[in-house]
Amino acid sequence: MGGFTRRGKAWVALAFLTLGSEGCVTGHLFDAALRREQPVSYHDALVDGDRLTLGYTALVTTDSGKVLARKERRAAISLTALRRHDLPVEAFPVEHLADDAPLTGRRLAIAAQDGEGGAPAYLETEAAPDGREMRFVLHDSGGGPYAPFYSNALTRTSTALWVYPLLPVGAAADLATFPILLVFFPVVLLVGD
Amino acid sequence: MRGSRGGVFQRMLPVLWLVVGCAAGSAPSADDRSAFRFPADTFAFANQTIMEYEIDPVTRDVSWHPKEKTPEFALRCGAMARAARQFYSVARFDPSAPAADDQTYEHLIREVLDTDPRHPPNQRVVIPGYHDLRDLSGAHASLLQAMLAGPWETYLQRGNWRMIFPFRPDQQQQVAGHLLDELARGWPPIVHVLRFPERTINHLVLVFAAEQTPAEIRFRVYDPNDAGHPVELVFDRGARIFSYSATSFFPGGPVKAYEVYDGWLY
Repeated sequence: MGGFTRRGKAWVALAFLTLGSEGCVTGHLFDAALRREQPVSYHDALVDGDRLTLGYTALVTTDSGKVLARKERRAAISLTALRRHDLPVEAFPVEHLADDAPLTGRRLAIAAQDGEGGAPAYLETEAAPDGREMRFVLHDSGGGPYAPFYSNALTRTSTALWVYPLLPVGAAADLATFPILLVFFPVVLLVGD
Repeated sequence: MRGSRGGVFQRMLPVLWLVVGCAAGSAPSADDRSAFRFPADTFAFANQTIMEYEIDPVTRDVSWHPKEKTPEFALRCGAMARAARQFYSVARFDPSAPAADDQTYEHLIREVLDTDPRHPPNQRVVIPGYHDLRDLSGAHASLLQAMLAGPWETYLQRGNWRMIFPFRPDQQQQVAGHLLDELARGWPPIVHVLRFPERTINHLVLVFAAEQTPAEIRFRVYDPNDAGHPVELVFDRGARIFSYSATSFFPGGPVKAYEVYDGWLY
């Protein structure tokens, strides 16, 4: 219960400030390790009860957009949510499934825009100029009408594992550089336009 | 001892509140201004890059090397974005008034450029003989280029301290929301667009309009490097990231963005 010494308090304060700054070095390490996935094409669509299950190919990119790989992914979305026209992408409920999750239910045709108008139920996809399927509309005489679903609602992010062993080094670098930044910060404010 | 420190903290609360209040910034009211117009409210000339950029059409990788002849008017993106907003907020163009001599224009332009870029005065500077900034800067390009601040204004932009720190997706979402709020108030925000520590883009632009879709917010941007066309800064609502259009110097793709010339911290 002796508490911190003065030097200990200073270190704790410095550590808090460093964390408060979100860690310049550690933060950029995490940015470099960030992996973002967004759908490029859909190849499976099945209606199972109140769910639409999707199989799609996702493009894996770095934080700055460099393409690293393609992955086969699966996800499910609720038809109730899909009937709502007021759900913004960021609030759309999506269930990310395991890559080998079984695809069950009534299989739907997938067609590019206006390509399958005669079928009773199908997924009409719309591609962006770069070829990515940026949205789809579910047409199903049994349950519609459905709002367009935007592919970026299926965005997934993850962190590459190589970053974790580097974190102690990053944190040490942050602890060393943050006081310097703290000293220069008022100068930047004073001199800056 | 603890009590007295707590007391000091409590006494400082109003000061902290003031500081945070200032840091949050508040856009000046639109008053009688119409919306920012492209190209009318922008410069007739463009900022030049000192590098020649080569963008691989397949990989979109970008490489650069210095231009053979260094352009005279370069590294002014910050000065131009700042000045475009000053003209928008302070100048009133009167094309029906007779054109003045160079000395008068120099004086009037100086008056505009000397105003606070964050909080413009209510008084307007009347510029006779021209319809808008595009018109004026077409006729007096050399004068304006000489009067716009040098590269130091961009290098020493106060908000540059922020660029070295990481940007979280929720922060980028806040930035997008704040830009929309500013536009709704009739105030075109100036945005620092960057990739750090990469050096592929480090640029200041002025946002003047936005179109919202369920998937994205498409901000229309005046890029001082391109006098001919507006550029797009797109916010992806799903990934919560900004992307900048492909330009002659940038292959297009994700960037970080934050507002500058906003509050005393930026």
